[in-house]
Amino acid sequence: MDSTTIFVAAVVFIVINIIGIAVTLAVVLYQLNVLVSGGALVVPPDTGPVDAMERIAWKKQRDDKLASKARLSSAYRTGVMVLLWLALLTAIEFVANVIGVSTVAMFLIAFIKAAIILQFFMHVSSLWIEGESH
Amino acid sequence: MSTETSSLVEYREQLKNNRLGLWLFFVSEAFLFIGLLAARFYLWGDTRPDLDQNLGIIVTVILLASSFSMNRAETAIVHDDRETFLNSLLVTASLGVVFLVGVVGFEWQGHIRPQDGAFGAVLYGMTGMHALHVLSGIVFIMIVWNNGRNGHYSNERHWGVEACAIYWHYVDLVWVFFYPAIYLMGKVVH
Repeated sequence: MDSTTIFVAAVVFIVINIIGIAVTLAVVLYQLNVLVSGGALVVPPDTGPVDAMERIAWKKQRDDKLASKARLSSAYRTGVMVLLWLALLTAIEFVANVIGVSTVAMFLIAFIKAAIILQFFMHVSSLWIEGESH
Repeated sequence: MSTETSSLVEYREQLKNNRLGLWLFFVSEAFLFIGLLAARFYLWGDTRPDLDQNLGIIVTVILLASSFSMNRAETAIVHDDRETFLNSLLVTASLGVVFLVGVVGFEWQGHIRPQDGAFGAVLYGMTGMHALHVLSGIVFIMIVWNNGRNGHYSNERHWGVEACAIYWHYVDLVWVFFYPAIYLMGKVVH
């Protein structure tokens, strides 16, 4: 096999890989978005009542519902981000062990993970924020 | 002030005390787990037994994932999404069971036995005490799930869910320190 064929094959291989990674990434991001937003990607069609007053009330109700859905999506998204950070730190911990990082550094990573859990999952700040409900 | 509003104000006042009580309980529990960690560093020093690293990372990831689903359950009840709340609780409990199977069913069936000196004593002491907390957490989750199925809890009143979630995250928090102490820190002694 001559060098030109190898070069063309390598370029084709790289291009196919880039397309494959891009498609996979797009699908994963789309799925993640559907997962965290509860499938709220499709905007509902504007099929409200015709009467002006009724229409205003209906629009307000719809906006409230959409705002509530957005808040829920945002809360779920925070959970996903926290999970990703914890997973990343665990992976760093695992690799750090392989390359022989000191015990102090391992403890430092553990403390960062603990702080993330305390703040985002255990809501420790709600203990001293006055008037904080659930 | 209506009766309902006054009852909600009372509930929120009570909520502050409940939270403080739960966190004081965690502080007392922390002494137990810190004691176990201290025993590990005193008895093992800069060494550790040869444990299955793959199993260690797998159970750790499972416990992290369970914390995520628990957080999802709590978020769902805050936003009155009952279906997600109940499903996420079941996912959390299932992941908890998988974690227990990983530790008790696989790690405990390895080459180290409880009677194998300091390695055996500390390994079984730490993982056993933690597994006991995971087990009680699973029972707690199933009680909350059953209550939720029967229509208990709302976006304004769900202290039971919050307490259960915080307890579960606490179990995860303990493992954040136990995992590196048992599986990663120190030189392997065969």
